[in-house]
Amino acid sequence: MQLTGMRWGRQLLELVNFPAARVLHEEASNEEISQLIAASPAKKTVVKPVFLGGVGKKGKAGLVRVCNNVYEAQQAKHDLFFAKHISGNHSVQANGVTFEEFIPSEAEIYVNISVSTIHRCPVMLITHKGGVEVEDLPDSDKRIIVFNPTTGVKSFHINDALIDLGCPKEYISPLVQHLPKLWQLYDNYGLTVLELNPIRMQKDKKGRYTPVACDIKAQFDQDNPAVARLGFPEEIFSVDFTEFEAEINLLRTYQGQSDVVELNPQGSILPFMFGGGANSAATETLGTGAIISSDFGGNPPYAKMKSIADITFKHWLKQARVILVIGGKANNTDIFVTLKAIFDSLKEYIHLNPNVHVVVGRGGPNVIQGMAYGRDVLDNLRVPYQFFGHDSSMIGVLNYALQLDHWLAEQQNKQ
Amino acid sequence: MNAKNKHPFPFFVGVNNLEDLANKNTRVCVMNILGGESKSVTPTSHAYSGGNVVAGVQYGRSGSEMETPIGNVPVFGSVKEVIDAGIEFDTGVIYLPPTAVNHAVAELCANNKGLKKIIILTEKVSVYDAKMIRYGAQQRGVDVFGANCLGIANAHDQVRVGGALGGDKPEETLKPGSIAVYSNSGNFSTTMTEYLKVAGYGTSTVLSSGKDVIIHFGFAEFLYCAENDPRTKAVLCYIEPGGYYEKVALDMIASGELKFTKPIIACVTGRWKNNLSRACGHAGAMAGGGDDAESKEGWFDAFTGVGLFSEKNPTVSKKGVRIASIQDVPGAVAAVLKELGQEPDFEPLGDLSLKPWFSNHHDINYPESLNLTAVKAVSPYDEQIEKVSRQVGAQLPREGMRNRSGATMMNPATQVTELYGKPLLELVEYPYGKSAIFALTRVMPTDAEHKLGNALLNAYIALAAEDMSTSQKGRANHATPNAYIAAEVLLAGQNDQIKAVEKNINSLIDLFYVRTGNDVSLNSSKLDELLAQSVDLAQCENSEKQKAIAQHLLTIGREKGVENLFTAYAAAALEKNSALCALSLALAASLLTLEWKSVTGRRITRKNAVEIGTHLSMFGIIVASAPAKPAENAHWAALHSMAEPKVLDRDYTESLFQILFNREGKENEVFALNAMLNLTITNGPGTISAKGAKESVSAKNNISVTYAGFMTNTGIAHGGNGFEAVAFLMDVFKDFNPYTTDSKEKTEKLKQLAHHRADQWNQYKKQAKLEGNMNYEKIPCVNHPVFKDKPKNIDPREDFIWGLFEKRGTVNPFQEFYHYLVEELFAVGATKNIFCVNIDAVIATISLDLLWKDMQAGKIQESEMQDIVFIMFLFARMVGTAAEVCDHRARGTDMDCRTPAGQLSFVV
Repeated sequence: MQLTGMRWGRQLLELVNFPAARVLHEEASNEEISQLIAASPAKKTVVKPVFLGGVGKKGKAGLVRVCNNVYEAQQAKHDLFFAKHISGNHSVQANGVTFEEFIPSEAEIYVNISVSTIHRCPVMLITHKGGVEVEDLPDSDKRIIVFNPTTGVKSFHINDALIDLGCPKEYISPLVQHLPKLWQLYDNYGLTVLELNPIRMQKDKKGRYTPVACDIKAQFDQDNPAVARLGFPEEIFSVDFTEFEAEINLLRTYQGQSDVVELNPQGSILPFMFGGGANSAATETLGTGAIISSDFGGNPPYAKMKSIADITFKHWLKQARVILVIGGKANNTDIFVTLKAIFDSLKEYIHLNPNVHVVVGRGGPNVIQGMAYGRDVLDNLRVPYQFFGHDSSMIGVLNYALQLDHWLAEQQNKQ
Repeated sequence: MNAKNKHPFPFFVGVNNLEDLANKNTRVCVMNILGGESKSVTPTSHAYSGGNVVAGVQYGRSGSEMETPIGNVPVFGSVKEVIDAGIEFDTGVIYLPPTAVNHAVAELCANNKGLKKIIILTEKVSVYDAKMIRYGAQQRGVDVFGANCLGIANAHDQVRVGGALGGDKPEETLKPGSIAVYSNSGNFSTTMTEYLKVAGYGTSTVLSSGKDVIIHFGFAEFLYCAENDPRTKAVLCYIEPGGYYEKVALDMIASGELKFTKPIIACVTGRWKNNLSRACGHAGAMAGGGDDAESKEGWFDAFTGVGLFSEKNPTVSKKGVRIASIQDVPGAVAAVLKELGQEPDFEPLGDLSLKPWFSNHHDINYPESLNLTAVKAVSPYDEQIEKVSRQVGAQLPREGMRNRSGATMMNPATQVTELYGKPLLELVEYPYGKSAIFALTRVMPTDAEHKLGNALLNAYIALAAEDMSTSQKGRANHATPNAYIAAEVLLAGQNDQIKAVEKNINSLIDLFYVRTGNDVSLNSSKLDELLAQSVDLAQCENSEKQKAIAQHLLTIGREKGVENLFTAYAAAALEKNSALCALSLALAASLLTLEWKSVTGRRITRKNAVEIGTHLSMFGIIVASAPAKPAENAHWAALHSMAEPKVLDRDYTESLFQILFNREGKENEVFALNAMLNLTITNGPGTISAKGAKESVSAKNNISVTYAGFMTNTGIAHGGNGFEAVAFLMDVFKDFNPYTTDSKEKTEKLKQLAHHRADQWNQYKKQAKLEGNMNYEKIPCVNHPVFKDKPKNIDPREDFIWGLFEKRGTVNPFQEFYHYLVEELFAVGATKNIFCVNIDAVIATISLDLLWKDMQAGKIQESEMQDIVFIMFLFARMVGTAAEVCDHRARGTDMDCRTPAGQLSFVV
């Protein structure tokens, strides 16, 4: 669960009264935009695309326009409304823009609170040379503040770090006054990452500075019930779920058993993966052949596994050449229960694709009973199958499924 | 360096050696011990470890006990109660839901001064709680393992603590040895341990670390303990992206802060995760900037000084090697330890090549690389597979089968009913005898098998053709054919002959299956082996007729294409033992010949296989009860007397023709009857005749009663409006014999008749509407609720049959008339478009075509004609019934046809 940008970020920061740039949404009138520009000392506004659900690790550099008048702002809105952000082979489409207050500033501050796996607790990373990729800065220009995770980051931690960094003195007091609020936000609303970049130092008429957040990235822990305190509409987090993923996610409980990611909607291998390890191995080996990546491990009960299989077959069986059930030697997952649920479901959906082939690679409790059940169902459905136990290499089974898929594709092309 | 424990970490670590993680002295208290997951895991762990679980906590369940194979574990309501009871433990295991985990850690720390370790199994503990647990446990001086892990196993001490490492039979997986295993994946902890055995290595300690964002017991601590563990010669780890745990450890080694001198075989996976924007699988496996899989690979490569291990590049160093997937575990571990001059822990066990345990290609011609056949599994799975393999035939779960069927369905797209996926239109071109066997075996017989099938079907008519007094009495009382035939069927009950055949099939399945599998081709040594076994077969005296039938069946059973061990065995066994019942053994052997492919291919259940003869008995009784005057029916009499057993070789359709019409049918007539029978086998499971049989099965009746159920659920309303159509056509053709006219003249006359009837009906309809009568009589067999909205409509089923007959030049004049009639109805304005001639018209017109000449010749009276049409329908539906009864008996549950009370209503 991720949130980027000020559209919802400003609301998030308001929870702890952290100053943030004023924001107008895409439906803002020309008059409102004009007022926003007029109120800015630099007589400018910043137009940014809105990406619901976040854009992954990197920011949306290159998709931000600084505009001097309403005309330019409306042109930027036109250009950015459906902008596409591409990171690796993952792309996200914008759906709207924000018009944000332009804060002139001589310095940009970067602040990040996240869990450090080096220190095994939350830490704050701070630099007064922000506005750039923080990884690119030398260590001498940034400080990691480690603090007591039960009491949180205190003003003196920040003060000490800023002095140490050589931060201009006029900024220190306002930052020390406001930055500790971010811990309150981080700790009370289920965040795992909170990054403000940049915070611009706004100077008032009396020459006093106020740190104003101009962009934000926040990541939430969906296992933390405190996230619900935000009261944000669910769609701002969930838009990047596909219909299939969203349906499976409804079955999510603390016991896991229903993690899925749609990998290639044009794929032809439909894998049911069990366990985090199998998930890694299978997804890596199958590549684009796999329609989905999944982890249904954790001893799912029959009803849950049946529902998962129902949804999966409903969405994908028609196009699948190979159904693959893959996992190592299970510790605690009852293989009879999981295989029975999958094959019972297959019986109901086989009409969508009676020519599918089945490959199973699995070990664990009741594996033989499970495989015998599968054998009987598939014999009855006249579906060809190969079931491998844990004494066959899991990667070997994955490669077998892959080869089978290729061969079946060749046969289809011949026809 | 921590002075107290002499370890190099800037935080608390209470253990110094991997043996400290779990050993014989470890005493465990399980939180949420009676919860679902613990209930399935803790008893096994407790028994495997020789009883290391001293107490459990289940809130609100103080005083309970958990049963285990080595005695009960006491259950308390809180940790305080455990301590107050004087029970000491050093390890807490937590199975609680995620939001309760933090509280349980606090409870364990607060109430047990002797606490040293906590193992958290729970998945999806929030990062917030993990942070609090880390802080609290560090303050208290307790080592935490997990969360989201599967605990620790020490194969040397035969102890496992926490989760289910090694599965439900840990003693099989966990062999003592020299490799310490650290894995981010619980499942791979066990799977890699299995793979190690292939290279001859066992494990010292296995730790499933978990893969949450915060891993409480990290890689560095594990390496520290492994270095101090004399049992451990190398560390095998499975690492996923996300987190700097491994970098911290390797940096500490590089800087000399952490002394580590043993090799590391590191499996790093997860490059693909870079493509994802959110976690799938392990929560902590989302990489940030520098902790993705590629970075981690680099950390380990820098440590070992060599790149990736592969079969092509098996280079390793004394510091270890990196592998890309766990299938390289055996090879890489063996290579690294060989580099160090270390011998394997034991003889290698098995290999990781592809070995299917279960396989069925279903006639797909795979290329060689994919063409694998099932092989013997490793022990003890081979015995388990052997056990399930002894289960003969399909194993189907029982479920409610009301309004459902695994035998027939109406394809909603084509409106054509299918039997085991074969459309009836396709079936039309098969001899009806083949269809009858197909309905029972789900596999279409070969031509050679068809010959045996014909003989069996005829043999059962012959066996039934004895005393027909019950049906004759029914006829005399003007009972309808379904009633008097059903009476004969009902009284057959479960007679001695039926029982003997069932018994013999049962015994022969047991005798053959384990010795021959699906291959029953002739083989003299196999035959000798079978004959040497003691088998319980039915014994009785046979009549001469029965002996003749038995003899004839066994003779056909020796012919090319069907010769096999069953018939050879039956012949030899009868020669050896004259007390055996020849008839029931010959029947059983012949029936098994026809159904063995289906049984061994798991197309039918064992029960269905045993009962196949019972169904053929019912067919026999139905057919034998059909003639109005059996003794005067030449074919019936021949079967009755069995003077010439060759009569059994007659094609089944021809046999039925002779029973119905008491004359030999011409080729076209037999073809027409064959088509009609196949077409009317079934109308799907919802059809009322099928429902009668299914409801009777649901009430747990004998097969004979279920056939009576089908027959009592048929009546003169059956055949759509096919019977009405016969009456309609008789009226139309009362003054015109279409068979005595030349073809040109016939066509003209048929058109005239069609025009006249269309015009007449149009007037009638207009008048009826004028009078406000909307229930006016419709013309039977035209129009269809699906095939209706085009300018010219066609029922594709009728069209298919029309094409079939047209090709043979044998379209009957009545069907031709119907085609003109629908055109004329439109022409006179009676219909808004050209209606289709529907499939019921086919039944009516074929019936009339077959009967017309005998009626014209006065051989058949009108009342007899109705009976014959009805009986033809019963001949067809008995085969559909066989399929439904088999299916329902194999899958259904008792009383599953009951209508739920909520669907019932009272009508005033």
